[in-house]
Amino acid sequence: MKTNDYIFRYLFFTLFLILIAIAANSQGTIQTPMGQTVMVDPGGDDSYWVPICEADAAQWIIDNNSDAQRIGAATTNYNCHSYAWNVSEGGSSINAWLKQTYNGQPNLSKYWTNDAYTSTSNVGDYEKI
Amino acid sequence: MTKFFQMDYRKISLLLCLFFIAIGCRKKDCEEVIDQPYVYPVEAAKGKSLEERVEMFKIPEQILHCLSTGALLKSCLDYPEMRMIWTRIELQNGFDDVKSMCNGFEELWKRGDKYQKLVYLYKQKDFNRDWKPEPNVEDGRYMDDIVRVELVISQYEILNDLTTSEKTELFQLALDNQKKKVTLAKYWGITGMQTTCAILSRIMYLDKYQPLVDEYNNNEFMLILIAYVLILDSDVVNKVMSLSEDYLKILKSKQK
Repeated sequence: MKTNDYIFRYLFFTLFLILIAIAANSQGTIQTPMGQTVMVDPGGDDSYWVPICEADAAQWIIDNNSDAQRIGAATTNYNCHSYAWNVSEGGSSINAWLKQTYNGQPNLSKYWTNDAYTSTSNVGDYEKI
Repeated sequence: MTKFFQMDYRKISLLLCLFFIAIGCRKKDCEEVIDQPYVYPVEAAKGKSLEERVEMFKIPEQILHCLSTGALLKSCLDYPEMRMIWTRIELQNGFDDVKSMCNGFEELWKRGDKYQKLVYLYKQKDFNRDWKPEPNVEDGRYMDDIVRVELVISQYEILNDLTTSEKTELFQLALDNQKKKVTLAKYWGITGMQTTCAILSRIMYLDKYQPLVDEYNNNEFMLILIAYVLILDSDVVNKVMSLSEDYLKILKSKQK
């Protein structure tokens, strides 16, 4: 009986760990300034591309004598959309890949649809791209 | 009679003039075909502005036309700013940027044996590899090298001119390699699958394969892949592969 109890507790603990892993690796939500829900997820597993992108970008800055500055290590935790609309506004940068659509539904465009931003065709007026 | 001779003389003079003009305008033949890729002045261009670098990296006309197709292809793939294919969200837009800077591509499109040289190079790429346990520059460079070749192959300038047997050969090759990438998805990721999926979907699109055309018309993500070589939804990969399996059978049956 004691053995069964141990097995049960062991299985329960294992299941608990698996659930944590699934939750950590699944989609999450963030809010637009006006409170609309936007879906984010951990993104694709493209981590093997990161070192080459970093190396090429660093070399490009040297070769072109560019003023661009590296602000930190690259990760696959968030993408350009997420940086522009979420991370730069103080949002989380963990598992924060922000796609244009989610399950076929508009996702990113919520930021400028009945919300705090409007789209503009005038290049000089933009705040975010 | 005299008038006739006079007219004839004038005609002959005119023809002679045209002949010499034609000879004068004719492109000078290469004395020797250059079989080595062009060496770009990379060191001399260091620290210069992008505009200056682009000018410095133009292949001189007298060399450009004399490069063998194999050497020209390698010169295009080795173009120092080829890395800029990754600076746009869409690989196609990145490639279009590079193409506008590198004068090798326009010359490559004109070559009659461009497909043969490309596919020969592509076949030499080995997909069996000892991957390191953690992401690293070396593995990334290896994938980038293959993606560059695939991106050039996926251009309509290449795909438009294929014979049925070339198309079947390329389609089979791209599908086999796509399957290998799926098996090694941990390394390749969706990023590395965009070019193989673009080759497959663009061939089917050019051939007006109806199931693919229906998907193109009803699925925005398929349209984005074909137009921009960009995968925004991993379901597109499965769809392309499943359609490709069926289309390969059709291509093979056409060859019999």
